Amino acid sequence: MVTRRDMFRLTGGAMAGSALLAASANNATADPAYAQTVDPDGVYTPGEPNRDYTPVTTPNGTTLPFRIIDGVKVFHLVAEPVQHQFAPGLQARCWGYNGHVHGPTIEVVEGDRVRIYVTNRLEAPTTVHWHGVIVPSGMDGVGGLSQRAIHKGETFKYEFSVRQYGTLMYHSHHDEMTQMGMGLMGMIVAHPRAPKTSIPDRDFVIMLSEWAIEPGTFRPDTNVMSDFNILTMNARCYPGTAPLVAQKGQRVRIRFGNLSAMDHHPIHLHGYAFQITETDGGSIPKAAQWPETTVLVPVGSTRTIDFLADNPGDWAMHCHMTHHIMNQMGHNIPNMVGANFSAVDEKMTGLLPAYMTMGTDGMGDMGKHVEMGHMAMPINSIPMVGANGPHDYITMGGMFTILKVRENLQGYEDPGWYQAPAETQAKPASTDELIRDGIET
Amino acid sequence: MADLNLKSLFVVTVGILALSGCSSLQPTAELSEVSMLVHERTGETIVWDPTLSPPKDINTEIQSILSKTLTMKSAVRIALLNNSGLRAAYAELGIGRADLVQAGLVHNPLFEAAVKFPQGDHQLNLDLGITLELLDILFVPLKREIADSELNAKKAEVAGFVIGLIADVRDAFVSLQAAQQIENLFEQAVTATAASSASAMALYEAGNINQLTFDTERYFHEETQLARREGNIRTLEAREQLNTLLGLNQATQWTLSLRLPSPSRFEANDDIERLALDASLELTAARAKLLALGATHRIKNTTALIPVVEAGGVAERNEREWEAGPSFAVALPILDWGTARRAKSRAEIVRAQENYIGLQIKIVAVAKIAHARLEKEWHKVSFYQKTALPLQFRILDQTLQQYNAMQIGIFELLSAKRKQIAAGQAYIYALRDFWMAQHAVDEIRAGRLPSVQPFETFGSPMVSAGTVQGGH
Ligand SMILES: [Cu+2]
Repeated sequence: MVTRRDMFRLTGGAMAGSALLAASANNATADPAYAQTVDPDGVYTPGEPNRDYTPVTTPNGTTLPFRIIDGVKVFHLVAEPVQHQFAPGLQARCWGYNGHVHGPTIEVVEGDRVRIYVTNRLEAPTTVHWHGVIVPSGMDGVGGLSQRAIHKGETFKYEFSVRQYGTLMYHSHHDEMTQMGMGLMGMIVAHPRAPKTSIPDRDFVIMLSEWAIEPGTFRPDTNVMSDFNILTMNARCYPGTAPLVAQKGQRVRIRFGNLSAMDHHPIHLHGYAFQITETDGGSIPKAAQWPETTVLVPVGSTRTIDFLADNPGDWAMHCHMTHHIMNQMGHNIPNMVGANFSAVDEKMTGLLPAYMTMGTDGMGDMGKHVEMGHMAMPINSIPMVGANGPHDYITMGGMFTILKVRENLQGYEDPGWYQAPAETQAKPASTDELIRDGIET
Repeated sequence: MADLNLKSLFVVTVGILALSGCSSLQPTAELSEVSMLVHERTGETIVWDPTLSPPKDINTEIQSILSKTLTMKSAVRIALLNNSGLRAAYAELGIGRADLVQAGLVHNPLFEAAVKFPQGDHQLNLDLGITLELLDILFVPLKREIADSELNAKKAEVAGFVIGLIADVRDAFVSLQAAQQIENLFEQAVTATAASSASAMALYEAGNINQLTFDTERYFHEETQLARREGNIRTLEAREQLNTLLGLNQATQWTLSLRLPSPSRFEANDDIERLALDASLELTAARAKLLALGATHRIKNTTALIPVVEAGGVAERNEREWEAGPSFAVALPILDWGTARRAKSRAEIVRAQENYIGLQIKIVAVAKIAHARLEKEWHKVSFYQKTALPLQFRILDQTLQQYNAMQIGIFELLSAKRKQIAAGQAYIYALRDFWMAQHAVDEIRAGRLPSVQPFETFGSPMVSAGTVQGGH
C-alpha cells in the first residue's frame, strides 16, 4: 500500500529545503516540498519555549497557551464574538478566538503531537482549517468536505503530528466570506526541531487582512467584494499598530501571512534589504533567495523575511499600495484637487457655519484637522487619520507600522521616537548652502 | 297682537304714535349690543360710535399702530377701524334702525309714497286705496314687530360680519407670515444651489469635472431661482390680501412679526357641533327673519315656526297647521285674502323653514369638518416639531460628519441642506394650515361659518432637493 508520505516522495520534485531533509535519507529520489529537519514519523518530546525554540512576538496579539498531556500538546480555541478595537476611535463587533481578533498565534515545534479543541460559541456553525499544515484529510477542517460543521455550543477535537516547520495559518473554512470577513483567522508558527540555520533574535508574526467598516457603523460588512476600507496588520490599522522593536545587531525575522479577502500586499520595509527565506510551502534554498526591499504577500500565502538589524532608526514598514495605507477612505466624492473654492466658502458661511472645504490640496491635512478637533466626525470612525510624529503629522493609516531599531534597548516596549544625529537629519536648506551649490528656488 | 279688533286698534295706534316721536334714529343700542357680542366671542372691540362716522383720530391711530411691527392683534384693530366692508355693515344697522322708526309712523299719503318693507313684496304692499290711512294705523304694531325682527336679524348679521372679518384678518395675517418665512427659506435654498453651482464652477475650472456635471448644477440653480420668484409673488399676494382687509393702500409701509407662533397644545372639543349650533349668528338671523315672516303672516305659534335640527342633522318638522289670524280676515273683508295668497304665504314659510333646516345641517357638517381639520393639522405640526425637523437636523449634522470624513462630497452635503430647507417649508405650511384651521374653529364657535374653508390650500411652492452630481 502506498502511504501518503510515499505519495509526496513520489510526486515531489527536487524542492526547496532538500538539503535539510534528513528524513529522505532512505529515498533520495522524492522529497516533500515542505520543510523538515527531522523524520516526521519519529517520536519527539513536546517542544518547549526557550529550550527548543525562541518564542515569536505577535505585535498587538498574543500566543495561544497549551498544556502537555501524556506527551501531547493540548490547545483550546474558542470561536466567539469579540468587540475589537482597530485603532483608538474605531472598534467593531467581530468574531475571533479566545477573546482576540485575530486569534492567538499557535506555536508548535516540528514533530510535536498536537491536539486542538475547538469550541464554537458563535450563533453560526464553523470549522477550523489548518492552512498549509500537512494533516490527515479528516483533520483538514473544510466544512462539509473534511467534516461536518461545528455547531453552536459544540466542541470538536483536531489531532495531528507536526510534520514540517514554517509559517502557517488557521482560519474558518465554513462560509468564509462571512467568517473570515468577521475576523476568524490566526497564525501558526512551527519551529524546526533541529534548526540548521541561525535562530533569529527577534521573530515577529504579522497577519495581513482587510475589512469593510463604514464610518459610523459597528460591524464589518461582509457583503463587500472589493470596497475594503480598513487594512490591518494583526487586525490593527495605523495608528493602532504596535511598533516592532529590535536591538541593533539582532537577527530579525518577520513572518507575514495574508488572509485578505481580495488583496495581495507588497510590504515594503524602509532602511533595509532582506532575504525572503520561507513561504508557507516551505523553506527557500539559500541559492534560490534574492534580496528584496518589498515582499509581495499574496492572498492565502505566508512569506518570511530575514535581515540583520544593523541600521538604527525608526523605519516605516507598510503595504506599498497607497489605498492600503488609508483608513476608511471614501471614494464617491468629487475630485477636489487644485480647485479654488473661495467663492463657495463665502456662500457656505451663512448656510453651514461648520463647513470646511477639504481636498483642494489633497487629503494630507485631514488627519490633522480631525486631531485638532476642527471637524465633527461620524461616531466610531477614523477616516484617513494618521498620527502625530516626532517632526510633523504622519499622513499614514492602514497597513503601516514602524520598525524601531536602537543601539541600546532596556526592553522591547516602545522606545519612543528615534533621535537622528543632527548631521543625519533632513532639514531646510540654509541660504549659504543654496548659494554654495548654485540652487535657485 | 294677533287678535286685533277695531276697538283695541285705536288704543294701540295712539300708543305707537306716542312712542314713535321719541324713537332715535341712531342705532346706539344695536351697535353696543353687536359690540358686546363681538367682544364676548372674539375678545376684540368695535371702536365705532353709533353715529356711524369713523372715529376722529382714526388715521392717527392707524399710523401709530403701523409704526410698530404689526401683530395679529394690531392688524385686527386696524381692520376694525378701517375696513370698508365694515362701514357698510354698520350702515345696515342704521337702515334697520330707521326701518323700525319708520314702522312706528303713520303713513302720510301726502309725503310718503310707499312703506318700505325689507322683505320686499309682501302682502302689505297692497293697493289699499282710500283705506290706506286707516290701515296704516291698523298695521303699526305689526309693522313694528316685523321691523324689530328684521333689526334683530341685522344685528346678528353685522356681528357675524365682524367676526368673519376678524377671522379673515387672522387668516390673512398668518398667510403673510407663512409666505414671508417661505420666502426666507427660498433665499437659503438659492444660496445652497448657488454654492453648488459655484462648487461645480470651481471644479470645472480646475479640470476635475466635465461640462455635463457643471451644466447640471448650474441648471438646478436657475430652477431654484425661478421657484424663489414664485415664493416672492405669494408674499406679494398675501400682503395685498391683508392690505385690502385692513383698508390700506399698497403704498402704506408696514412690517409684521416674522415668525408664525408654534402651537403648544390642541384642545379636542367633542361638543363642537352643539356649540356651533348654539352660537350660530346665521341661525339667529334666520330665526329673526322667520319670525318677521311669521308676523307678516300673522302666525301665533313661534315654536311651530322654528324647526329644530338635532346635532345629528335630522330635522324635526312641525306638521301642525299654523294659526293665521281668522279675525283679521273677518275684520277686513275688504281685502283680497284669497286661497292663492294663503298658499303663497305657506310656501314662503316652508321655503324659509327648509332653508333654516339646511343651514343647521350645514353648520353641523362644517363644524365637524373644521374640528377634524384642526386635529389633523395639529398632528401634522406635531409631526414636524417632534419628528421631522429634529430628524432633518440630525440628518444634516450626520451628512456634514460624513462630508468631514470625506465619504461624500459637497454636492451631497448641499442636497441634504436643501432637503432640510424643504422640510422647513413643509413645516411652515403645516403651521399656516394649523392656524387657519384654528381660526375656522374659533370663528365657528363665535357663531360664524368660515367664508374660506380652512383646509383650502393655495399653491404651495417648495424647494426641490434635486439630484446629486459629482462623485466619480
Ligand atoms: Cu496592500
